[in-house]
Amino acid sequence: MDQIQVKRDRLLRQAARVYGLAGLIASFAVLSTPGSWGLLVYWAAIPFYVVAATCVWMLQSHRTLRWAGGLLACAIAIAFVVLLTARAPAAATGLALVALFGAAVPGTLIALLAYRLGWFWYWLGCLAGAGAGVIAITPANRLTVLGVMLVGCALGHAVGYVLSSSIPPALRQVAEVGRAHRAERQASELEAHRRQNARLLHDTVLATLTLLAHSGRGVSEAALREQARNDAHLLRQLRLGEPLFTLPEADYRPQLVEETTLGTTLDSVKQRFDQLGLDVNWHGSARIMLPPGVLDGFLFAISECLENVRRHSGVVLAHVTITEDDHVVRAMVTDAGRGFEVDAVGRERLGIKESVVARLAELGGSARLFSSPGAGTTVLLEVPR
Amino acid sequence: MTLERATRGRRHAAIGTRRLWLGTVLILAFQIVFDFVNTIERIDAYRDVVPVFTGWAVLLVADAAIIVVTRVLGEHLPTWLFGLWYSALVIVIALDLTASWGMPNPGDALTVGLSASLSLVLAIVTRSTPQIFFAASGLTLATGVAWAFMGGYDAATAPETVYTLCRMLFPVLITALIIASFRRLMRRETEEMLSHSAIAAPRLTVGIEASEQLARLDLAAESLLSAVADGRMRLPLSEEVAKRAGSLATELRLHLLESRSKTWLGLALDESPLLGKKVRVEDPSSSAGLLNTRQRVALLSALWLLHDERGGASRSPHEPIALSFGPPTRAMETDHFEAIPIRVDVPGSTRMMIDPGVWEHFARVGRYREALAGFGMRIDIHCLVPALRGPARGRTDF
Repeated sequence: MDQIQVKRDRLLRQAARVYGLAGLIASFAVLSTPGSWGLLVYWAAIPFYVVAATCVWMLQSHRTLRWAGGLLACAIAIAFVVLLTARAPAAATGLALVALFGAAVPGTLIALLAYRLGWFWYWLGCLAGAGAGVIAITPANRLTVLGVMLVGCALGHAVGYVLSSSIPPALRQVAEVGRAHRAERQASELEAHRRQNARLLHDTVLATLTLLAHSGRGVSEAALREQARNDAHLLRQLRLGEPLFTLPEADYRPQLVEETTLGTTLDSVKQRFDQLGLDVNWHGSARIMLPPGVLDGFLFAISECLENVRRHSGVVLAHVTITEDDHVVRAMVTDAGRGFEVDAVGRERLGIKESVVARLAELGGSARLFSSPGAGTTVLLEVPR
Repeated sequence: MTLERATRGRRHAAIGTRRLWLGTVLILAFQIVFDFVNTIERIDAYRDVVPVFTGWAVLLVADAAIIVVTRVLGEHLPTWLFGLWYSALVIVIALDLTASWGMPNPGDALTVGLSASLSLVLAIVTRSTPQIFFAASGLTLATGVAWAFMGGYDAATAPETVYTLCRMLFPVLITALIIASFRRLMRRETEEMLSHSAIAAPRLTVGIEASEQLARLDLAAESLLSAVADGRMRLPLSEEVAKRAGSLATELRLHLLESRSKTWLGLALDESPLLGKKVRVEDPSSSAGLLNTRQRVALLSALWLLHDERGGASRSPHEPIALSFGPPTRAMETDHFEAIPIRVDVPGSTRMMIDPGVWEHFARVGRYREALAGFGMRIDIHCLVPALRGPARGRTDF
């Protein structure tokens, strides 16, 4: 309710400014025609027009009542100027007063219609103005002029009523649009989460794409085709919103820790590397309690290490040992390959650092690398549970 | 979804204006009755009544047609139809001027012409404000020029002439400007509403845009991989396809690494052009994402209020409001909370000019201190957030 009131107030004040200023301009334009130009009434009225315009302009600040009252006072003052300097041509002053009290005053006073009992103050002001206007006019025209002024006041009230009554339904409509947007946003957020959390899937897709980018060198054609088929199938499932086999994809769900069957997931990693020509031996725990997001990163790190073994070690067997205690889950990825000088690996090879170390650090874990030429390589991965 | 976003601009324009349109139709009907009575009253003064009644017939048919078309087309009026209707209005005014030719006071004799000019309000919902502006000014100017040539304009009848011209021009302008401010108000309301939907986002999030991009990349990868799988692409791949696979992999990797860097605040500013223009955010450590729901609502509401204060198109364009978030530090008071320093610079404003509601909202974000800085205000907020580690960080449901 409060919101509606604020908007209504703002809209009516803006409307009152436009309406009131237009009325003042019309009134002044009529008065500025050759007949009354240069007469005393003209010069005496100008300062009041200026003050009146200032009052209307100031309606944008919050003291509506004060500025509306100021305008009314100026308008009545103009009427008295006309009355006291009766020499001016009747047509010009009469029409100027009609524009003043039939448009400028009611137009400005519609700003009051936003408030409780505003209609009362509105009509009080309008009638006072119309009264002053009628007194200042030649007696012959009084009735017609009063009629026109009152029609103007009624028109002003109608405008104010239409404006203020159109605010609540419009705000309801806005709220509906907002609700629809929120739903859309939520759906897209869930979808984004689903895709982002399907990291393991993306990791295998990335590996396959990288192989393809090297035209599939070093891998048998059948294995590569098989791998591509698997990945395309998984991407299709992701697209259709079907559950992916063992991917823990839902860390946005309320439960933060769930038991995931690590065994099956490890099997899928093993299968993948089998097809790529690297035999992986698992040792240690097969069931681990890890929050899904952490598990995902952990598996990614292991696969990334195995990929490195496959590419660089020159052997076709790797060992992965998984151990755990109350605080930490560890994986040791070992091969008996050609190894390398750890310090000699330049900054240009950012693969492990970027992907594994950064990913584990995100989860609060760490990665350490041990290797020397001819003595194989060991990577120790740790994540907190 | 993209289509929906494209039509959202039009939805802004249409919100709530139907009622206003009905109101203007009623006011126009009133004016038409009034002017028609005027025509009947001076029927003896016309040398020939055919032009003026032809004018009435043309006007009524044209207006009725426009009302029906606007309703049928769902608040839409094609430009050619607007042009056709406008020329009908010009013809009506010409007929009225012909009819009142040679009258002692032609400036006071316009009847159907006044209704024709006011008829332009029928197009206010469907055409832009400047268009209405020019259309109404054109009609008024043409009438004024015609009178100047007719010689009806002299010192004695000048007030009536000017008064009639004002009556032709101002009602249309007033209505157009009021509708324009109504639209502005609704646009602002809609944007505030939409920006508030970003509040529910987790600490770091991807926008709708980024999520769509990832979906596109996935689809591209899927089609490439399935082409390889069922042998439509021969192995080893041609150089061109291999290159494509490589660039796809790179894009996908970048996306997975980097796309989760937006906070709810960045999202809210991205999606609201009004607010986005007036507010700059610097948040290298994504601290905004750590604020809880209450703090987020309060901060966003305060920004909208500050936006309103500097909203007037009449004021000179200010520098944007600058928000900078520091990295979270362990709060002195307790181990369970972290403090995020937020600094808000509001250039060109003084305390008097700022809505009191802003301070209430800032107080809900955290303890604040305000000071004059250069030509504006500087507000430092000391915002406390629970110190959480791990995945629970940045959750908004506590």
